[in-house]
Amino acid sequence: MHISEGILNAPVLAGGAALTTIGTAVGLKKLDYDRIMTVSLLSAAFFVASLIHVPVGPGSVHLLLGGLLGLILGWGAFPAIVVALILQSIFFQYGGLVVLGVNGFTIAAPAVLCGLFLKPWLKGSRKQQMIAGFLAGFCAMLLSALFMAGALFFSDQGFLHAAGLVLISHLPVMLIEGVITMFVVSFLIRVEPEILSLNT
Amino acid sequence: MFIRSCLLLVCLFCLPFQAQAHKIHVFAWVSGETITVESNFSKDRPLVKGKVTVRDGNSHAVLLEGTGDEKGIFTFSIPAEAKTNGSDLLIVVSGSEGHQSEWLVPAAEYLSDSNSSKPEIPAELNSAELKKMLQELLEQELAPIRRSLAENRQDKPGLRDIMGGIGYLLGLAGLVAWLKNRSPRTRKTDD
Repeated sequence: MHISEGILNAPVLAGGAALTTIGTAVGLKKLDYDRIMTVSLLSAAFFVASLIHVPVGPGSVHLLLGGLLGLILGWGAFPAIVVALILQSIFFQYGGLVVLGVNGFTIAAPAVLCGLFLKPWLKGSRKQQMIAGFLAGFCAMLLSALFMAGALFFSDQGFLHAAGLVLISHLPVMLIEGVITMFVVSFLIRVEPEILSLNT
Repeated sequence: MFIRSCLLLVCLFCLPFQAQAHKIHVFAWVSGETITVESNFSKDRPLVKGKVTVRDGNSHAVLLEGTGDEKGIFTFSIPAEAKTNGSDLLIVVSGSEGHQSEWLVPAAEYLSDSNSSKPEIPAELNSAELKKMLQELLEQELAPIRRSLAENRQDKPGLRDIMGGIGYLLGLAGLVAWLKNRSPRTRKTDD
């Protein structure tokens, strides 16, 4: 999911940087600083999640946990993800600092969208909670893959084929993310529901 | 009590783990019919008179033993049994205070060297032939070094990097929490 340096063209990079700056600013403003440790722990979970690879054909894709972060942190997922991406680029050389804007928006925007949209369902019945959890994981990953494909496509029309491949290759991990998010969310609701009323 | 134990744990983790004499570094290379073993604690601190044991890589039988010199270097000729068996050579170096480390010399490294065709030195040597000979010899000598450089390239994120990243995240959170708690608003309510 991390686009590497030197692939995208300048307008896409600039657009991504602008959008991510706005998103991060909003996220920081809406962050509940009393729960900063939870934010950083979830950021750490995201940081490590990218190391979990799901083999797909000849290559592999990796987990993101964007949906989970969106549900628990809401807008706070933006700064949490951006900080983790910065550290990933420094420590693991995943992605990069120039392409940080695009990567940040690609992963965080769907996370926040799905999280905010599906959060009310968590207050419903047990079945609604599980569906919301699954959809959060699945849709966040789907949108991220779409945005990533879009970024590649807008950089170079020749990337159309690659963009299509991105979408298809992420299908298995979308399902896995959905399942993981579903189980984690239902576990959290049972064990520590306060964690889910974390955002504004 | 809980906070105190956490602080103690933090202090323990701050102790320098990368201190000087905690690990013996061993490096061995083949040249011709001999193998040279170099052992040190760090670049400037050789392992003085370390004990070197050469074992057969498969059977672990001791093939020969010796002691390194003041500079941590020990040279031995390749044992005949190893050559006939064609097995890897496991070189174990131990120092005092329970330090021990090992290095594996793959069979391919010392067998190929002895089997390589040494370029024959013709009676008359012109510069082109000399160049060719030198190139072949250098290729043979450098091949194992290149191999080990390639193997040592770290591509996967190591545990160190993961712990470092998580540490930064937790530290940032602590910093932000501390900064937020120092806002004038809260100080005013203390009166």
